[in-house]
Amino acid sequence: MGQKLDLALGVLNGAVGDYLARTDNGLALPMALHLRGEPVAPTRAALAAAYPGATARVVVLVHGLMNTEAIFAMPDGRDYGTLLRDDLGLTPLYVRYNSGLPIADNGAALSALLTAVLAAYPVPVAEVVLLGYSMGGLVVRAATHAASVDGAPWLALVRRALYVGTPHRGAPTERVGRIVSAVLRAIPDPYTRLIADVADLRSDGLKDLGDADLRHEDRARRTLRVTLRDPQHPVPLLPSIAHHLVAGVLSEDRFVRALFGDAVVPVSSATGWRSLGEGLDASRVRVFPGLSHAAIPRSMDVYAQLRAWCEAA
Amino acid sequence: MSPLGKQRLLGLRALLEDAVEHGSAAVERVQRDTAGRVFTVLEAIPPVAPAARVARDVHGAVLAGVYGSVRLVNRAVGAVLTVVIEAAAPDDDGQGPVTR
Repeated sequence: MGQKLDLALGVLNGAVGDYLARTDNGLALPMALHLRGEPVAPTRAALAAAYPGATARVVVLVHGLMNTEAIFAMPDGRDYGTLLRDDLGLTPLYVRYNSGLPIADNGAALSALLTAVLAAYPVPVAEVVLLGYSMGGLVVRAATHAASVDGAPWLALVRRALYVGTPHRGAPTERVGRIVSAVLRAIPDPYTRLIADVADLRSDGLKDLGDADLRHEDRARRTLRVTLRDPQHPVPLLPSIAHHLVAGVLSEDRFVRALFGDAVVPVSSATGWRSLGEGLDASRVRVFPGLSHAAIPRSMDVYAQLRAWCEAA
Repeated sequence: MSPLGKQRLLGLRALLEDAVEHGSAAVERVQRDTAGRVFTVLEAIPPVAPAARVARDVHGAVLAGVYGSVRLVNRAVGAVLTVVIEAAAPDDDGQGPVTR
């Protein structure tokens, strides 16, 4: 029951998590490390007990919208974190958070959490690898941005960031939904307004996906357009980190590839590295045919690529 | 944290209460606006205008009474549930309520 409840809470938080947090509701998930479904406090004693074999290299796994860290679990119980632990000696740290909050808030919270965790970690940390799935990749980017602004000490330990199915260039479905909601609201009819009211209940985190907004000031510039608001993303990838992008596509067909991508994130959004600043090239972008958005966080093919990137100097 | 500890049960109660509260208010608004269109047309016809104004007032009062009652009962049920959860639900550290 515990895991099903956790999944239900993950979905609920993604849908209306901003409301839950605003009303101080006990169903709102606080951001925390989790291990085998249980929270791990960022204290020296709790971390030492949870990670008796802690190594100096850690990989931080951040799930996506309406998920928990269970999204990474393969049928045999392994996941990218445990595989990287067994193969390369990285200690996996799984983050669970309220995905309905603004991405900027979750980024700031992740930065604060990593500061606390790495200060209390059982052994000195030499390297941090960040791995974000879907919205989790945007939370990772927001965290690195917040850390660079605040001068958080953990940022200097980050060698690489891995983005799996992350909508770097926003989600067109959310931008279309935003327009539909505005049109319904503009119609002078009580029923269409009611539908618009219900549609607008969707969380801040979900609305942030439209233009991949990582900062509050970008959220304030939201527009009613299907196309992206900014040709170049206003928060470029940090040049001090090696960034690697993974995307899935349902089919090699050009039309399906361009329009649907992995059924949730278009390929152009997951691999939009040209709009993300300097430091990325095609060797750091990989597209996997036949992988849907639900399959891409737990695929051995994807893992092989992630491992190869992590092994590279 | 216990999967269904006190804080989460109280949160679920609050969420359901909020849903009924806001949902009933939204439906009441739709019903008032929809009926208002008819009343506005009728009030523009001089022979029936006085009766239409009375009907609008009565309709509005009935609506407020019905939906107000729904919200009143909702809050009462919520208050009772809060007492029950506080008394019977396990604490969030997994410990049950203290019984003497």
